[in-house]
Amino acid sequence: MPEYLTPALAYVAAALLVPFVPKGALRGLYLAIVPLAGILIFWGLTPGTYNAFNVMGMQIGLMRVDALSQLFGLAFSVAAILAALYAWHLRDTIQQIATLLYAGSAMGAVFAADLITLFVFWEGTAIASVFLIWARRTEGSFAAGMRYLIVQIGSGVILIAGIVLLYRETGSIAFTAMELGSPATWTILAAIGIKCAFPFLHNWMHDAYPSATVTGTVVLSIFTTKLAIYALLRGFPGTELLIYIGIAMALFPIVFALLENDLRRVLTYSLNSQLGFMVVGAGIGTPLAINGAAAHAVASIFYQGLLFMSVGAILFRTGTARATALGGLYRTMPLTMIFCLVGAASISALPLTSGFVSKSMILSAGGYEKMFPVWIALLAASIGAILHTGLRLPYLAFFGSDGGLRPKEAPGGMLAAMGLTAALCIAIGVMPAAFYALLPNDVPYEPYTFSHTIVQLQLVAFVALAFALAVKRGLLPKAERGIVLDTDWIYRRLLSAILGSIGRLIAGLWKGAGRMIASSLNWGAGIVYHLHGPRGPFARTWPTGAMVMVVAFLLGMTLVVTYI
Amino acid sequence: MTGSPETQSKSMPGSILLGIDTARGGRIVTWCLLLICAGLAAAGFTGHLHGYFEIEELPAFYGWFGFLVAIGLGIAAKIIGIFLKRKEDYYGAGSTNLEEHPASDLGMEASDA
Repeated sequence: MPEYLTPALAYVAAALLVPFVPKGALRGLYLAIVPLAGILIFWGLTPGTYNAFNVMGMQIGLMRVDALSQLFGLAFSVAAILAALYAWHLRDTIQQIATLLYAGSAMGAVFAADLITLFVFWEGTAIASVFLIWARRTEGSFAAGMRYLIVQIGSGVILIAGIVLLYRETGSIAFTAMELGSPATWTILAAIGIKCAFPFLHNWMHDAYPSATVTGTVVLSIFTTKLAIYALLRGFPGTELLIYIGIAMALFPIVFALLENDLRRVLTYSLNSQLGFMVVGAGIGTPLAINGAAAHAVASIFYQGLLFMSVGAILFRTGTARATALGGLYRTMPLTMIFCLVGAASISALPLTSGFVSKSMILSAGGYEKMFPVWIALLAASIGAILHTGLRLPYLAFFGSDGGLRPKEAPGGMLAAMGLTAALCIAIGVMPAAFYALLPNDVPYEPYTFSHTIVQLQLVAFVALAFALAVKRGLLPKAERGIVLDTDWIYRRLLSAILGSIGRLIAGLWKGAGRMIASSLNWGAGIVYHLHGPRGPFARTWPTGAMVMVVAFLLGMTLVVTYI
Repeated sequence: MTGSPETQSKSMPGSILLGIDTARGGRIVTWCLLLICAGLAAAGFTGHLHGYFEIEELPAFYGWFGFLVAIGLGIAAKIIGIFLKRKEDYYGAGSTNLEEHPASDLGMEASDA
């Protein structure tokens, strides 16, 4: 095997050739085939580290193959194929290249055996993905992209700082499980936390993802945050702090998702909440919990991707993703509605869908460890997910009050991608054994017990009933045009106001100092002018007698001083 | 692309669901849900439900817990919304909240039906 071979290389090489492939069906096919080439590079290899070499005394490993990297690698590859199908209609070369580089970077990071390789591809995901936001080509998307880039590059800079500290501390850059406790590991966790959208580090996602293009948002939803989950599972399994962070993550976005009018932003909050489940799984750290987190990450790539695709299809056909403008779309977009409902059922963990077989593992892991607060918090977060994404989102888009829009059904490529993704969501739910066989730990788990199936059906049905009654009685927030303040208020308004005030203060001081210096100079010049000006005392022609008097006085004073 | 409900054609692809978004349709859905909930709550008594905690032994725990938390979350969101909701122009011009999605990225077409 060539020394520098990694699945990322297939994507990068393919990206360079994109401009030479004719636009249209041929290019669409080309973009869908590239991830297959990536799979061929790693699939079937026996576990181990391939393509390792030494650089300045550091051991670099481009391709570590084990169950965890293969699982995420496979999920990313399949998702990249589906994203390519979804974007079949697209003729924008920049987005096509950016998508390949972004997916390739994510693949490179997943297979990285060392932290330097991880860092390179970590930054690669940031740089490539911002073009999917800028490709919208508006003033707002440019600003959102810049904010996104600053945060993402910041995450990379913090990561490299952590790597340097770790190298000084241990003399190794191997990407293995770390113990939280030293400045190095705290720094690395902070870097991962930014990409993972930990609470207070999360707003870049809700700001940037809805600002991207129709297809860009779908692609963005697949890679960055799941890569961060992979990094947590690899680097910090069993770190107790993650349990508390995960619970906060799972719970706090619920209210925002219920308030938001922009359906793409509803989905980013929903995604944020689902990431919380995975972070809790990583924090619990038992083999079942790790399996649950990994399984939920993979399931989430597909059902969350499917939801983003369906809302993207609505945006593509109607020009808006605002709930206030939609409603009643089931009439003319029934296939998109069905696919959206499959995604909604999956996120609601309805039996026979992917969410049921993945989310339940994390809750069971909490149950087996007798972590009641964790278990009840995740149960509440599950109810929130059913409410805001399982019910409210399809209700507002496809049912609810009729917005009067009668758009055409989504184009063929989008329907094919949504159909295949929906089939995958159901296949995972129907055949959990085949899915579980891909998970990193060999832990027996049976999701379809009588108890589990009945209680989950009860949960979904009663929440649906509560939703129906709440809509009727006005117990849910109305969809209204507007925005919901989040932590971006800190840097978009508060920090901006503080910096503006400091700027005005400095400008005022500068102006005042300038005035003071100018008036001092004026005053000095006035005195000189007063003394030496045309009418000043020193400019006058003095009479000879007066001059003799002054000279005599000075001589007299000299005599006195000399003899005293 | 717009049209009034009166002009809706039966030939629309999703016509099988026509009426589901009316008040009558809403009532039918609610009653169906009520029946399903009752059925599932009854089904819970047909066998022993194994749980991890004592609270799960309570009758139809998942049902009423889900119902109450859902209503609670809705009300909480309504209250929090009073403090957090702002107009779309809050962050000024140059924000995607205000912009319409560019037509070059869209494929807006009306339904033929």
